Amino acid sequence: MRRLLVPLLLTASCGAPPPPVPPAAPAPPAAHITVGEPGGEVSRWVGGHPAWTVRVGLFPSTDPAWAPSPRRTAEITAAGLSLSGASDGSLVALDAEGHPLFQLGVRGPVTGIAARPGGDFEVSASATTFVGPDGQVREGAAAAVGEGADPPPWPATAAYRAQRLSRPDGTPFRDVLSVLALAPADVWVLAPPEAAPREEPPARLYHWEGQAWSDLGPPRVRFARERFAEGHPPDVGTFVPALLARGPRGTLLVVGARLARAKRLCVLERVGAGFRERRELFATVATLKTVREARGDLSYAVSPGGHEVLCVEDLERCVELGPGLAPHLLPAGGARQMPTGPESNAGGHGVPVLFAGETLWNTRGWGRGAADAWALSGGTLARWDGRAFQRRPSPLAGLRSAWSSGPGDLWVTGAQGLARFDGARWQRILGIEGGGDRAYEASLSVTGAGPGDVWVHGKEGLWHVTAQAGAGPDLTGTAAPPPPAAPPSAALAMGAVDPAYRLERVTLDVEGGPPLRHALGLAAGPGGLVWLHDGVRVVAHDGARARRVYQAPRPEPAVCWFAPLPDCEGCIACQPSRGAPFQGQRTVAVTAAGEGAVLADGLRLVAGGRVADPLALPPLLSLAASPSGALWAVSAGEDDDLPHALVVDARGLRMVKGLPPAAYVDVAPRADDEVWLAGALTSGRRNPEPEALEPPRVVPSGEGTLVRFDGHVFTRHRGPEGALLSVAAPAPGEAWAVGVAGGVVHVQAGVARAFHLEREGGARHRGILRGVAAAGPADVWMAGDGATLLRWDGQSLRRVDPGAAGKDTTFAAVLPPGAQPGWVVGPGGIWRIVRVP
Amino acid sequence: MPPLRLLAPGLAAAALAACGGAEPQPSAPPPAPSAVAAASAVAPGPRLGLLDGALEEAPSFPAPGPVTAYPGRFVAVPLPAGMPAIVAVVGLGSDDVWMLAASSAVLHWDGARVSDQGRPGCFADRCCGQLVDCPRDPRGCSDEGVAACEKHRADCAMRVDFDSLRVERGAVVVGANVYTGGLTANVIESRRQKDGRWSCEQPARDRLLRVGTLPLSPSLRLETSSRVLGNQLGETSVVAGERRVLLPDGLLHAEVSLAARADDDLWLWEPASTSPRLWHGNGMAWFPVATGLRAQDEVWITAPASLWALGVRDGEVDESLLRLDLDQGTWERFPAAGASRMLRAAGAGFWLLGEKVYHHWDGRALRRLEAPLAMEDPSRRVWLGPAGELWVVGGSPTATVKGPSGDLPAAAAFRLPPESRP
Repeated sequence: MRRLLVPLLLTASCGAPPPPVPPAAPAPPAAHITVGEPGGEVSRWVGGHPAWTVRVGLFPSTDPAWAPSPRRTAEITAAGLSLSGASDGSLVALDAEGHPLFQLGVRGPVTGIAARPGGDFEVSASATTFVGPDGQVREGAAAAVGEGADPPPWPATAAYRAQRLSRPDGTPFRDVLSVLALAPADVWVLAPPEAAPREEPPARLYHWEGQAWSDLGPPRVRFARERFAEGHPPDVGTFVPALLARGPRGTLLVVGARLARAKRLCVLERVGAGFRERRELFATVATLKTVREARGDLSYAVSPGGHEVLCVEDLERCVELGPGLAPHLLPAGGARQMPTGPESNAGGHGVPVLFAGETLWNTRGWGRGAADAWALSGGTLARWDGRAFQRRPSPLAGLRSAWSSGPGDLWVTGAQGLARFDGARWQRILGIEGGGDRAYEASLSVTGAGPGDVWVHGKEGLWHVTAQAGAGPDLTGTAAPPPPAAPPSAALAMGAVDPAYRLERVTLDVEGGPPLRHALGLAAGPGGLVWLHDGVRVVAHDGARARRVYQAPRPEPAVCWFAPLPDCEGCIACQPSRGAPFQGQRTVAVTAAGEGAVLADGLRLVAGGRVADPLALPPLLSLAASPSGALWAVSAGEDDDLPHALVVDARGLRMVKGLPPAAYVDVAPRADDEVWLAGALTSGRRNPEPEALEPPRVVPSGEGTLVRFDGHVFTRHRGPEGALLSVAAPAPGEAWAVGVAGGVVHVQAGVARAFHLEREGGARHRGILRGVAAAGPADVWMAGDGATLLRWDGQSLRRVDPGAAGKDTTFAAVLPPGAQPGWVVGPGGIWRIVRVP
Repeated sequence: MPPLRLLAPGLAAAALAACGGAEPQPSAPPPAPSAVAAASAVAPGPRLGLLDGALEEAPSFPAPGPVTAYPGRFVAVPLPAGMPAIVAVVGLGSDDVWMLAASSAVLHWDGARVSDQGRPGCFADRCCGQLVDCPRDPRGCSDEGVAACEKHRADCAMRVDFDSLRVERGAVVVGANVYTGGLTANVIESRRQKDGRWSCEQPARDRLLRVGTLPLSPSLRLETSSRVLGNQLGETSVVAGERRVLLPDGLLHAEVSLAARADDDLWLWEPASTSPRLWHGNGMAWFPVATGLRAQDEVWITAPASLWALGVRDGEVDESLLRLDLDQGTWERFPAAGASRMLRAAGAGFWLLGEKVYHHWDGRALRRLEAPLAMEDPSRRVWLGPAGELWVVGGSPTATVKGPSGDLPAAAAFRLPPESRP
């Protein structure tokens, strides 16, 4: 066996001629493939001995300073063909002698490769992909999440909009304890005011009257000195509110604790403009021992018949009262248990209790009547029809709360956010994230005032969810089959400097603000109108004057403090940095003077010069306007349950469905039936850790992807050099996309060609190309790192002398010159592209 | 459609594990692959981008640059007798230099001689580092009172030993970080009054790790958590205008430092890492720069276009000084054995300080001279005057003085007058 092996190796490695093959070779040795540490080397072993080793890289990163440890796996077929896959979704096929065959990418980290009897490979990533020995690709099902039955789909909907709310002083609500919606214009919120991190001011009561908020201050009553806690001396104490509830008479109740040296349950009832203490509870609750330092240990439920139950921590410390029923301790067995098991004290948040009719259940959920209740337990959702609980599949894990206005309108919160069940299908409400991996921090709860009028609150804030009458229908297309592995890119020579153009540095004097000296992105509108952004500010330039369109809040650095005790090593707490509103480059779009949109902490539409509040949408990276005025936005997010593209057009906000999932970073809508989307196949996520001080950030990784949407079908093309960061469509059916490692993809008449830039002399130009724009098929401009500014004139690619910009500056975006000079911008400046007479 | 010009497949010789030709013996353990090749270099086949990645390569240096002897020499500064080692020096001019001794005595050089300016007497409680209120507790503010207290109790006050010195709005201020356990320290300061007496002050504590700002250019600044607290919590941010520039992933942020030539030409290093790297930022992303240094101390930029890096190269034990011509992209190397810290001088000049040897770059050449005093951390014990006068203070390697608990190194101070420089 070795006689057969070694000559092959010599052939591959040392150039020695192959010896004659023995006429009667024994059965071939068992071969296997291994990957070395840290994952970049692939070795073939035959009969326990190394045959060859090949170093296999990853696709170049858009963020070289973010380098997660690569992981690699590999498999070999009986025919000796090997395929290795890596954490960026890259795949490389090698033949039996280690010679390269093809490469391609799939979405998400490759977690497994299996050689199939037919000679192809089954690749496990975010979905299952079958790769043939010739590079043909066939897609399988999306990878299952977790074990057991798949959760039901919950596609995002534009039919409901979540708006994050702020207090009367304009600061966003945070750490909201409780919300009670008595009516659409009568909503009560219990939350602390904005405070320094180390401060813990008492929670205040806010009231929504339909148009505005009023701050009523901390709910309180004047206590007399008395023995309010059995076993403790007389004391006064203060009221610490915990939750809001609708009382049996329909009034607002504030359930909390009276706190002095002892702590006892205490309930205030709203009477007129003030509160009264529910003294009828006084004697009973005085006997209920509590943990003074405990928080969130109170719960309350009331039945349609006025039967009330208040609990401290567990079922053994509950008080019940009602019509004709004096307050007394809830007897053992007073609350029925769910078939899924007791919920005595789930998560330390107080014992969950709810009434279905007059029956008390020990569970989270929502009850409307004796035959209509929903119970939650972990990821289990069950409906009570008056006779039995029936389990229903839920798209959410860690179910926390439910609310229903009636049949066909159930809302639940969980680890992944907010979902609505219309009786048949689940819908995902955009803009409310439940914490995901940080589910242990998630505390979302839902309540409502009526159909289409829902309130969600938790640690992260307060949202009002309302039905959107003008929501447009989804824009649905069909994904064409994935293309086979792309051939290697060809060299595209960067020719000599084109003397017809030069750059002039400009500083834009902005009305009422500091001048704009540099920019990261820009967009052209009609009549020479240009919007530029520098990462925090959007400026409109009409050819003569510049004025500010939008200014992001000042970024706040991460800060740590030691609390509550000085010099306590274990008492450090940190607040992550805030304010990274412009994560993408093409984050502005202009349709007319004062009209357009900005991607800044969400999609903000601009009308009449006024910037609207952000729409709650998935994280979007790029925005562009089509000639029809439709706004297209794309997302690089890793959650494929969320749409990767959206359209705002005359029909409203529409989700784009059917788009192959990828990390999209740019979009070029040439027409409503010709939209090009560029990006990378894998969504890397920087700072995913819950304790990270910097906000999480998507890093497009892996193979580049360029998609054309003709209004019906999404057609994909591969970018073999890696992520594509910008796309332009100069003519019908034609697009240029540029990206990492000097990679370029050109599509014309359905045929895609991939290129890499080559300098004079033949060396590769591996700098990142960040922007491409076109005035026509023979006037395409590319801009990138290392002062790269190139113009394709239809025949060749010529360089434009950066001149005073310097040879090391970075060009992030470009607009071609026309009748007016063009623009090229970057973090080091703003330049006009001037035609030399 | 652009013209196609496919790259010729690489045909370089492969270096594979089997290159030795020896037939493996059945009983031998399977050898690990010893050599690695890019498959595109192995044999015919398409040249795949994933097999054709550019490797980081350290710069090569044909020959080290010259280092000549520094022509000047240090002059000993006469100090008051009985003074223990000097721990800090700072000056306002050639005839206005202040020194702080280990006994907290403050000395002043007026251009001709050194005079004793007294000793701040501040006391803090041992529990929490809080300044003792001397008018209310005079016994807690005297060495005798503390000694008497310590006979009976453990929670007595303690005299504050000052170890830092600065000039703030014309006033001389000495400071001390009082550590009593835990993450943070209490800061106690003493300020020289107009009448020559010393105050005792404790700046207010806001319990926050403060953010310091270092301007790098009119539009660029470095925000970093306070180093006073002696920890690595908090974030370091590069802020361009009002935009926060994301830093490389995984850095120990409180320990990074940065040099900038322009808003899109940033150089960052992180000496605290186990594998420190030099990063070049273009305002949008950071790219690693191979220097060949396995340990890196400092990075800085001098006009017109030089990036300097001080560290130890792979395979070597002595420090090297690397210079990158940012315009030409060429590297130069100078031997700088013993150098550990850079001190910026006027113009393009700088000093490299070390325990036993100093180097000076005057914009044209690197020169070397012996350190007058051996010291491990020269950061507070060296002062460079605006005219180029260099002061070095510390403890004598031979002479001692009597201290409260035994012999201490005697004070020593040296100055390198600017007139003795070439």
